[in-house]
Formats: sequence, structure tokens, C-alpha cells
Amino acid sequence: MSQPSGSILRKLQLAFALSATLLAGLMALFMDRALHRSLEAEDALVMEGQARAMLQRLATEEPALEAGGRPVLEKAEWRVLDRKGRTLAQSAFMASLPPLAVPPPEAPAQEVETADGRVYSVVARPWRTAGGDPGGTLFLAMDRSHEQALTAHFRRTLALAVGLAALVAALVARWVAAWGLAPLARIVRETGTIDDRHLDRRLEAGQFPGELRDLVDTLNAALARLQAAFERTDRLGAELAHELRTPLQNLRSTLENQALAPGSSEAQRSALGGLLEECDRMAALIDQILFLARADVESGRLAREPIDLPGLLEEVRGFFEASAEEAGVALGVVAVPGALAGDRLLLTRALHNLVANALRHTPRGGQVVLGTEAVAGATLLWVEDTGSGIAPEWIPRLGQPFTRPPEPRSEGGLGLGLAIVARIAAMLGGAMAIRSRVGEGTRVTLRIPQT
Amino acid sequence: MRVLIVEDQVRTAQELRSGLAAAGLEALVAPTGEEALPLAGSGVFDALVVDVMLPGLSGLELVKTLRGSGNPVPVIFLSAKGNLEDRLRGLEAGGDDYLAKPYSILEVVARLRTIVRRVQPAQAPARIQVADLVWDRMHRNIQRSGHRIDLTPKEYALMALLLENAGQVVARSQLVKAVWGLEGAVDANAVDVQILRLRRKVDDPYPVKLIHTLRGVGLVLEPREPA
Repeated sequence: MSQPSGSILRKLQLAFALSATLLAGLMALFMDRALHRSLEAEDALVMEGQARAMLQRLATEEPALEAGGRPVLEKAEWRVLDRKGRTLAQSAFMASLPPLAVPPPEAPAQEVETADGRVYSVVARPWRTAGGDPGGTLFLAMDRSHEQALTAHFRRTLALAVGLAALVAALVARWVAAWGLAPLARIVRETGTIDDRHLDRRLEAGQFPGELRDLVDTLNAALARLQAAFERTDRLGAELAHELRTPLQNLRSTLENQALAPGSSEAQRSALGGLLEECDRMAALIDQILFLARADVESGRLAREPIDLPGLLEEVRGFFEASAEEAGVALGVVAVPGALAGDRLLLTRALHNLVANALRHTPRGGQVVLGTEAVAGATLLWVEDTGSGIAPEWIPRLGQPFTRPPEPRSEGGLGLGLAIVARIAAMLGGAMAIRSRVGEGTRVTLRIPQT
Repeated sequence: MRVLIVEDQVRTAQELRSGLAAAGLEALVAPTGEEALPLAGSGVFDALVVDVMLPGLSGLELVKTLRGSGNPVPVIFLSAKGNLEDRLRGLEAGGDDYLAKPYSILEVVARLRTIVRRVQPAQAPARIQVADLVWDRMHRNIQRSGHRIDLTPKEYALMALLLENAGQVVARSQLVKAVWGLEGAVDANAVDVQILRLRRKVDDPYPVKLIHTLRGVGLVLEPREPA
């Protein structure tokens, strides 16, 4: 059965609070019952003593009773009936009580509530005269109001204690959960720092509590498998690069030597030159594909040199200045002073791809702007044009290799340019975003986190 | 200049060797690092061209060993891996320069001349003349038929490279490195436009053309009468 995946913290808190309430509640119930019983037992004992004393008194002072005398028994309320059930004598309080039914012998105490809400415990005992003859019934009453109050107060206190226990349990649960979940948070944090360039990193099993060792070991094993797979790909890539470029090199060298050989005709040179150009196009394509296949990208080391961003943008602008002027497109830089630790070659490559794209799609009279600005925790680099724009359905797919909107294929355009830009952004820990409106222009932004 | 080529691919080595020979550089081929080591240490060679991936003793290890024994012979690494890390490793191992395959042999020649010149500085002439074009290097002044040609800094850098190599073909990659300081694939169109604009200023007004394209190879500066 699959449990809904809520918050572990919430569940723990609820479970803690419930069990604390249950435990404290049960304990309160037992304590209440015990108090009640012991109070009752104590009362019974006191009344029993009083009854014994009264019975003894009645046995000796019965005549006095009949004469309307009052046997003195402190702190007791009493009523004496004769055999016919007539009241012979009673204490002042008892006089306010209605006639009481004579219970069967040995019956337990009965509770009587007065009109003003006071509760009395009443017992009845048969009494005998001095001569040993049955005299009638003796009633003894005991005020239990203060006990009731005590019990009520006790119960309120208990209820408060139960509530407090639940609250404390919830708080403790919160702390315990946070404390118990801290190693998990650490696992998340540490695995979060592992990317394709740091696949040799592992979690240290010894740092984590025993219950999490299995998780850590499993994660480490998965990382080891990933690393091995990446290394295989790297090796394969290096071999592939070698296997592809070596014959291309031989071809290129032969063609170059022939093209430069004295005595070859103009027609021959032109034909050889055409082949050399094809060689270079193929070399560029192999570079791009290997770059995207990660085969040509080092697994560990990227240069992390401080790059002056306005300077970099100026350099890129300088490279395309002549092309932009020829195309009748204004090429500008909007940059606030700023620096970024990164790989200059990679960033240059990304910006070159973006500007070349922008110039290709911007008509005469338009403009292309390179920009940079710092935002919270990141640096933005963008290239914006007033070109033809990209249809919205294409935007999410750009950045994938060999994907480009249908248009007459311009020279060398294989749809790898933006894919390479996206890859470079990812290699620098960032991302590429495209905003475009058909007929108005496009803005491609690289967001590179500050390290 | 004598160059030792350390390259296990026979065809690659032979083509490079004949390309260097055509440019007037004498070259010998060693197919392995082990064979190259005593040759490189002999002091006969002015420079080494070393493939990074060699069977046995790798190119990197060869150069490290040479540097370890105090041998300062200039080295250019060649690599089919062509990635950034490989380049870093090559330079760390003591290489003076690095070229990714497929390279242009002209580019190898140019770089060899540069690193050897670094060791033995040559005196560059202060004034170069090609046909009616005069370059006064000191005053950064280029004139044709007595008229000063105003060039942008990039156009000037391109022109200076062509003039320094007047009569010799300059590879496109060499040109991109000299003008923009960039290596590897760049937008070909931007380079073409730059050349076009230079031509407009230097050649268009004059009957004798100086800047010529060798398709797929590069540029050469030499006077040619109109056909």
C-alpha cells in the first residue's frame, strides 16, 4: 500500500502528540479513580467510627434520647429514628433534610444532594437500647462538598497537564525530527554538489547514523556506476576523436601540400581548395558533435579565471564589427562593470554562436546588443536582436542538437549552435533562456551563478 | 631550421614532413617517444613537433623527461583530442604551443618560426616594400602609390601579418589568431568580411592587386597583374 507522501515531520509530531495525550489521559483517569476511591474509603472509615461511637452512646443514653436529649458527637450530622420510623432526635442540619428511606441492612452509603447543591454521603445503621432491644435506625451524614471541589480541581489540573503534555510532545517531536532528519538534509546537500564534473565525490558513510548507512552506501554505489559509465564514454570519445581526426588530418595535409605545390594549375588549386573547405567544415562538425557528446569535454577541469565581462563583450563585438557593418546592423554592448570566474574560451564560443545567429536573422537597419548585468547570486549575459524572431512552438526545442526552425539552410547551419550554447551554460553551472517574438526579435540569456 | 617530428601515424608524419620541406624546414620523423628521446637530447634539432598520443612513452611524458633533464628545445604539441584539458596538460608538461588536429601545415610552419624566433630573436626590417606599397613599421604607416591607407586596428594587424610574410601563404587559422587572438573554429563569414574590407582599401583603387586568396588554405600578399 502506498502511503501518501506527506511531511515526515508532521506525521512524527502528530504521532508524538497523540501518544502523549493518550498516555497522560489514561494516567489522569487512573489517578482520578484512585483519588476518588481513597477519599471514599477514608470517608467510610470516618463514618464507621462515628457510627460506632453513636451506637455506643445510644445504647447507654437511649432514655435521654427519648426525653429529647442530644448526644454530642462533634463534626457529625445525625438522625435517630425509633422502631416506627419516627424521628426521635437529630442534629440541626439533619432537620433540613427530608425523611430518609431506611435502606436494607449493610447497604453502602448513599449520596444525597440538598436543595442548595451540597452533596452528602449518608449511612444507616440499626441501633439497640441498653437492654439489647432494637431501638430503630440511626442515620449519619457527612458533607462531601469539599471533596467534590477537590476532585473537580484535581481533574482540571489533570486536564491541563494532559494538554501541556501533548504540546510538549509536539515540540519535542519537532526537535527530534529536525535532529533526526538533519543527516538526510546533509545527504541531500552533499549529493547536490555532485555533478558530471565531480563524479569522483562520495558521501562518507561514517558520518551518518547507522539507519542511513544503507542509503549512503546505495547512493555511493550508484555514483560509482555513473562514474564508471562516464569514464567509459570519455575513453570512447577520446578514441572516437582520434579515429575521426587522424584520417581527416591525413586528407587535409595531402590536399594542402598539393594545393601549395608549385606548378599546379588555377583550376586544380580551386578544386583542392574546395575540398580543403569541406575538410574544415567536417572538422568543425566533428568538434561540435564531440563537444555535445561530452567526448571532447574534460571531465574535471574547467579554467576558472576571472573574466572582465565588459571586456569580453567588447572583444566579441570587435570580432563581428565588420560583419555587422557590412550587414547594416548596429552592434552594441550594454555592460555594467563586472567579472565572472569562468572559462574564457567557453564563454567566447557561446557568445560567438549567439551573435552569429543574431546577425544571420537580423535584417538591414536592425540592431544586435550584447549585454551583461549582475543579479542576486548570478551573472546574466545576453544577446538581443531585432530580427525575425522564433515561433513560440520552437523555443522549447532549441538547444537540442540538430533542431532548428525550417528555413533555407544557411551555410554550416546544422542547428548545433544553440545546443552548444546551452551545453556551455550548463558546464558553467548555469542555464540558457530564450525570449522571442516573431517579427520583433529574440533575446537569449545565459544565467551563470556566481561561485 | 631542423625539426624533429614525433608522430606514430606514418601518413600524417610523411605529409607533415614534406609540407615542412616545401617551406624550407628540414625534418626528421621519429615514430615513438622512446626513439625520439635520444634524438631530441642530441641538440641537433631547433624544435620538436610532438603528437600527444603515442604508443609507449607518450608525447607528454617525452617532453616532461626532456624538461626534467634541462633541455629547453621548443616544442609544439599536436593532438587529436582537441579539448581544453588536453591543451592545459600539454602546456603544463613544458610544451611551448599546442595545435589541435586537423591542423594546417602552414600553421605548424608559422608557429615553429615563432617559437624558434622566441629563442633566437631576429631583427625585423623597419620598412617593407611590395610593389608600390610601402610599410613603415615604426610609424605604423602603410602607403600605396604615395597615398596613406587608413586602416582600423584589426585591418592593420591583418595587413602587418601579410606583409611580414609577403610572398608566402598565410593560413586562415594563423590570421584569425593574429587578428583576434582566437583559435579553433570561428564564424567564417566574419573572417571573410574582414578580408573583403581590407581588400577594398588596399586593392580596389589600384590595377595591381596585392592580396590574393588561396581557397581553403589562406591568403598571400604579392603583386599580380590583372589577368
